[in-house]
Amino acid sequence: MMSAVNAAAADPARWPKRNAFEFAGGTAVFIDDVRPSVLLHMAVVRSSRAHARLRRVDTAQAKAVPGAVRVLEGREASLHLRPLPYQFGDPEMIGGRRIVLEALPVDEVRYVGEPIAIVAAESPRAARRAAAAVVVDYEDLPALLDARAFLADPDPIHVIAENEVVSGAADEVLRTAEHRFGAEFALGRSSTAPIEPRGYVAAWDGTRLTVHATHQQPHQLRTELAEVLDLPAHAIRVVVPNVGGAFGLKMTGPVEEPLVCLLSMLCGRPVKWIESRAECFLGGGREQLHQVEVAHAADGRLLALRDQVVIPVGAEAVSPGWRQAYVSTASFPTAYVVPHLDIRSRVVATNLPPWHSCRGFGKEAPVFVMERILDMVARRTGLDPAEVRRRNLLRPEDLPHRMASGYRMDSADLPTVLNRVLELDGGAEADGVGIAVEVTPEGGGHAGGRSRPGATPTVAAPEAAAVLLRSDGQVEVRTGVTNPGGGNDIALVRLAAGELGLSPDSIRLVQGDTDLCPPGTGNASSRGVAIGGAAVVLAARALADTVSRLGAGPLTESTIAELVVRYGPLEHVREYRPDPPEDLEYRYSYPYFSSGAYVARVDVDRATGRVRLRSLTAVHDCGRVIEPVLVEGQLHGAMAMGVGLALSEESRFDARGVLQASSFKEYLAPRANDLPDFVIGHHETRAPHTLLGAKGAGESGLGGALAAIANAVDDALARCGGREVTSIPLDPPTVLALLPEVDQ
Amino acid sequence: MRLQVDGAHVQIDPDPEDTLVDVLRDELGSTAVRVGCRNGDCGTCTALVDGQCVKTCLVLAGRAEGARVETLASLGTETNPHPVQEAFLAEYAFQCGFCLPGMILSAVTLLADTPSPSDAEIRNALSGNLCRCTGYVNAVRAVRRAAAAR
Repeated sequence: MMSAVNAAAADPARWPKRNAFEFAGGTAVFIDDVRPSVLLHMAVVRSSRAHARLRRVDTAQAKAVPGAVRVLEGREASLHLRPLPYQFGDPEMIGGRRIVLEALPVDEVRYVGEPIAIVAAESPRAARRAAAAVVVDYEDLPALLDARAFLADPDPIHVIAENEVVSGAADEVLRTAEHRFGAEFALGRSSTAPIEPRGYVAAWDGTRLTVHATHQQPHQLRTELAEVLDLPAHAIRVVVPNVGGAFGLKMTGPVEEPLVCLLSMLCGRPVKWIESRAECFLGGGREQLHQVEVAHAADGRLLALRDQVVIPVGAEAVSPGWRQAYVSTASFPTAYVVPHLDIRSRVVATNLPPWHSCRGFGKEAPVFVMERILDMVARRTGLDPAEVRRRNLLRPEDLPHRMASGYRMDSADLPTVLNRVLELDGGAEADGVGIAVEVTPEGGGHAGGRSRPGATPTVAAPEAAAVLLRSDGQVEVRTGVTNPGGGNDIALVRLAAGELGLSPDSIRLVQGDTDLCPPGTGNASSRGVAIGGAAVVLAARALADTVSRLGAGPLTESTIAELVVRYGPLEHVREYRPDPPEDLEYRYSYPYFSSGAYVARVDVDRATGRVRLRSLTAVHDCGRVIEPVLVEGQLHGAMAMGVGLALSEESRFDARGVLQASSFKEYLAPRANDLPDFVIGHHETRAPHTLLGAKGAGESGLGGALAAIANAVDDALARCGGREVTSIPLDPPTVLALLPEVDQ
Repeated sequence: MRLQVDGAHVQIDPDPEDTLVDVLRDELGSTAVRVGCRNGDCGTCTALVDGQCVKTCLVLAGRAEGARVETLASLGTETNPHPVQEAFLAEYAFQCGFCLPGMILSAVTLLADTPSPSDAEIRNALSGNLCRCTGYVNAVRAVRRAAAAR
């Protein structure tokens, strides 16, 4: 038996994480640890066809399986459920196609893995057995599985949106320029794959529905459930326990959300659904095909860029995943000045599982494409890649900068972050070196472009916080921001403590409970501290003002308790949103842009095609850094995911649309011995439009790491006479195909 | 079947298809082993079984008859944490914390055999446990710190 060595008087307050020992000691409660009595378990019957008419769904044998309590297919479910509402607003607001989507299909399935029927049973095993006993009779229909198949036969029936970002006269420049080239870039489909998959426990008591969910957006989930289940919102409480990572997966929209609730209402017992790893891997995103033409000057300056983009977003769905396609298009040309720009994208529905929101939210693809283009220009002009970037980067004096899409880059110092990362890079010996500059629009507000004439400009959603005194002498902070693991709770508590002159131990934080917390967007678009934190600061300041007006001395446990006796909890609620846009002609842009520059060094094994990452260095600018340990943590995680996307992570499907990467044995997420220590430097360009000057961290790092590694592999290949990198992931077969034939 | 779990003797009657992680979680209510893949890939079901670091999702419950199982919950306490727990907490070596059973017990096992591991040995020892939040940088630092504290 191991003995615990006495670490003299361990003081939990010195650990950065709140409730830290719950995690390290194994007592933290996650969704699967929520175990009400008389619990039922849900299993989902899923389509084995990519596109088919449902002739018949026979549940008779399933109902006879011992332990099965209720089996429900689409026709019966549709009697109880209204159609699913689109998340993030109606699609027609941003020029997207709307269809009516039911939680369970009645007539037609659109991808392998689409839910067809659900089962509630006494145990997970009985539920799975009953689900396996449901007999489905299909009539196959033609299926569209990928972007190249669409290009071969571009039937407009598949197109759910088209976006264009045009400025200048790209056609003419591309026709007449002396230096020009074309290329085709492809990004593979990838997933988020938090170690904890999705899960819900729904409990209907006859008048009220309580839903425990591992979720980023409890208030949005409550709104969705109210609409689909036709309940008043106040009859629903969503509670979020500890969340084991999310990265976009756990936003509102998957059909299992209303389905598990419906089963609880029909059975009168609590029902749990925990997603299997294979089910979790069905979701994904990020796949894109870019056909670019570039014109540049002999000195490396970009003159014109045309990009024809196809973005296959899987089957149409109400979850916000497909909207990432808009962000990709609108984020061109990232950190650079391109006088003549013509980006046109077609967003295509296919017969693969729907996209879910994926860390990066579409911002990573333009970074990859632009950074490959900059390196290709360097190769063709014989200039240093860093120098080519310097000649094209937006300079601080160019900002704020209205991009061709309408996005407004608030502030940055891109030349400085580039120069600093080049200094910070250790210069380790390696086969190839790659650099990348990344800008990451953050803070919410994804549909770029001009408004329709006369339309009211949209603005960023606010976040809200409540701060109140408790009779036990603590201060309670309730926020609409949720924490899927990244630790924004630490920053929110410290911000409140700072305003109130208290130690963080005196603050009790409540997150993820729709009965207690003010509405908010939860966890999305790196808003938690930059916007949610500002709401906490405003509410805490208001409380501090009141306390001072009442003539109470500095807050202590005893003065707080006395104030509560005399005046009650003195609750103050404040909302915060970043400064509104100045130019009402445009739809709301992201309120702040984080930025960064990256250097990757790689070795390429010419016999196997295996790439080994030797070093990855970043200089990151997310405005004012509130909690350095959190910002570094976010960046580490995003960079690791970027490494995975660059080298190994891919959700591959076979010719029948069946997922081939349904476990971590095929979906190769980076492991500890795949990665080096990352080196990180900070640069602070304060956000002019947020209260705290913070910009948000969480998504930046992913696109930058991915692009720097792709460029490093390209450099290694060029040094041995290989071909140019145009796709990710750069897995061994892809790299072998790019190596010169003499090697093989 | 009989088991000794975190020092307590228990008697249970598992389903023949149950794995050890099912028994620990569903029969005994443990929150110190978790399910992330049921495939031996992610490592969050890790416990020490008769002193060996084991992914309990890959062990049929019946095979563990009479075994001595120690989970993450047996290591230390909040006021008296195990040095590896202390190091993970001090280095902010995790974010969501879902992967910690495997991360911490793998580090404990490494340091029992290799008191002064190289970085490569640390990374290999942690490589059976997936983390999607951190990129492992701080976990590696934590193992270095725990090694130095011994």
